[in-house]
Amino acid sequence: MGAPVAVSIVMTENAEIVREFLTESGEALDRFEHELAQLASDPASEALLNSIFRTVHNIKGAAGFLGYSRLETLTHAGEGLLSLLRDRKLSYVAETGVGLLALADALRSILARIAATGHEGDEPFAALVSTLTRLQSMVDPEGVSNTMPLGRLLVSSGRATQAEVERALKAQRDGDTRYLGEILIAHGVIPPEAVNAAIEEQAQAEESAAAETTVRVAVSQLERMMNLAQDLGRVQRDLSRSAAVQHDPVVIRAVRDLRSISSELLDGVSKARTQPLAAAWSSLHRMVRDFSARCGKRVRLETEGGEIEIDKIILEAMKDPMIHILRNAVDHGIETPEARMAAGKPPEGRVLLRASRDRESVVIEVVDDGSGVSPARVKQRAVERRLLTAQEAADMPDTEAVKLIFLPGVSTAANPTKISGRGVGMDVVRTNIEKVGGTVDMQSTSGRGSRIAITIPDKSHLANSHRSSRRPVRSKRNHAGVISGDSVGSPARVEDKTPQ
Amino acid sequence: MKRLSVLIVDDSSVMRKIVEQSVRHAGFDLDRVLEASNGSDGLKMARDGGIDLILTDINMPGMDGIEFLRQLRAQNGASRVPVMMITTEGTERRVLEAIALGAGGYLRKPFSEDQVRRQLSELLAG
Repeated sequence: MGAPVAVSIVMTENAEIVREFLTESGEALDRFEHELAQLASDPASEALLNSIFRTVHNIKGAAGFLGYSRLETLTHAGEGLLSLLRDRKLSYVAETGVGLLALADALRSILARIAATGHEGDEPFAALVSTLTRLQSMVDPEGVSNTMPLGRLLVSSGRATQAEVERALKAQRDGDTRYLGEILIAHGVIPPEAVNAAIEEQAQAEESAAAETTVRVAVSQLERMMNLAQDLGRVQRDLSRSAAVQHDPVVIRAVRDLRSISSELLDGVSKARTQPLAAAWSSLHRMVRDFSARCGKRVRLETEGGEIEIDKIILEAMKDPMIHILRNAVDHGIETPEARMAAGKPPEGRVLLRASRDRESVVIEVVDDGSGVSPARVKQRAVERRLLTAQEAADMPDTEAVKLIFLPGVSTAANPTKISGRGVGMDVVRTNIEKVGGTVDMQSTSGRGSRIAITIPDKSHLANSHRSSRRPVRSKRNHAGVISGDSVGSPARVEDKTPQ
Repeated sequence: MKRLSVLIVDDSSVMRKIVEQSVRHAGFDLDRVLEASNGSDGLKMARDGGIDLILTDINMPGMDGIEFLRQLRAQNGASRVPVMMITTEGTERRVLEAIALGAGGYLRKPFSEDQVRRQLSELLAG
């Protein structure tokens, strides 16, 4: 921080500017202290936080030009703390206020010294800098809720006056450790019911604030943003090459910023693209319950691994196949309660939906304890559909035969039921899964049940490794050994040599 | 070189002076210097015309530099005046926004005479 060359701009005729700086900063610090006092009772006020931030920010900006490096260091620490408060990444606590007041005092003493001697002096204010830095580390992991503080709520609803709330806040500042509401009750300002009502309102506001924090985004929109973010990354790489050639520090710095922004953007979009499987699974419970009731069956759906996050695009593409597989399991796999009891099974059938992560893919299994697939039936259907000869069918082991249901026309029930009908066959399920780069496998034991395993690439992981994706020009050249026609606009493509 | 009329928009009067002096020291001959402490005042001054160059801070109370630029570009007459953004560390995102709105470049505080000379020459050369 701080380019020493900047100082020369004003060193020669800076007397007037310094005078102006002292006046402006002095006035700003008066305002700063006043606003800080208000902030204690209204720590979420955006206007206050912006104004307080700007005071420190402006002093820092001018200090950089005027060569006051201690002032710059101190304001830099204060600015960092204030930007966290302003961006709601940090909650205001009493200690924050104390630290900021100490900052104001220190700034005043430096300004006074400059006014008297023309120099900022050499007091390092190391303890204050470290306090301001330490306060920044108390970042809330979840951010700060932007609900109205209780005091303001009581005042705005007319339950208490500003003066009454301020008196209670002062008591807190003076060491009263009770909650604001308790103090107000003790002061006889309001009855306990009023505090309870206000707390209730606060909780409701918090709930609706939480509801507002999520929005629905079309998958196609996310896909587009992802592509744009990747394009931005490419533009940045091209720029950084020419910046390196030009040796322009301003451009190099800008390009470095652009790099971190574009990579952050890409990460953000990738993250926005993932969703836990449970989000898609939640509706399946109801579907299975309704569907099994209509089939006259009793089925319990169990899920495991719903917390695993996958790309929303894949999640979306998996929706229909999952519904299909579950319908099939209920309609054709699980037997009626009577048949189950006759076979010595519990009357209630069980379907387990289980997800697990396996290196760079996610495996989703649907396991049922129904009647399983009869290899003989499947073989027969395949022969009828002329997919196999009778001899091939006879030679095929049962474990292979059950997989025939993924061929067109094999899985569609010989005797279509009223419920799932002839419907879409397992071949369509397979095609849909393959469309998103997945594979599907089936195991079944006649009379014991089936297990269908879908393996899908974890694309959210792929999305993060943006350096390797969507780079047709480079890969073409690498494969062919020549620069392809596509790269005319950027013939100098080489591996990143960007200065860091 | 032509004598320039410049508009400097910054909420800090010290900063406005520093910017003015930096531009002078970078070798630009200033005919007229207009100062505004926020975007709306800046817009009013720009509306009167005759300005060759605008230097504006991004972070200002009331109308900030981005909104100033947006409205300036929508305003007839002043819409083509070259604009240089004055920024600080940590405002990179807003800089990108400004560039998208047609800002001609940016200077990050604290900037050197050399940077001012280079950036402004480039901007004014069009």
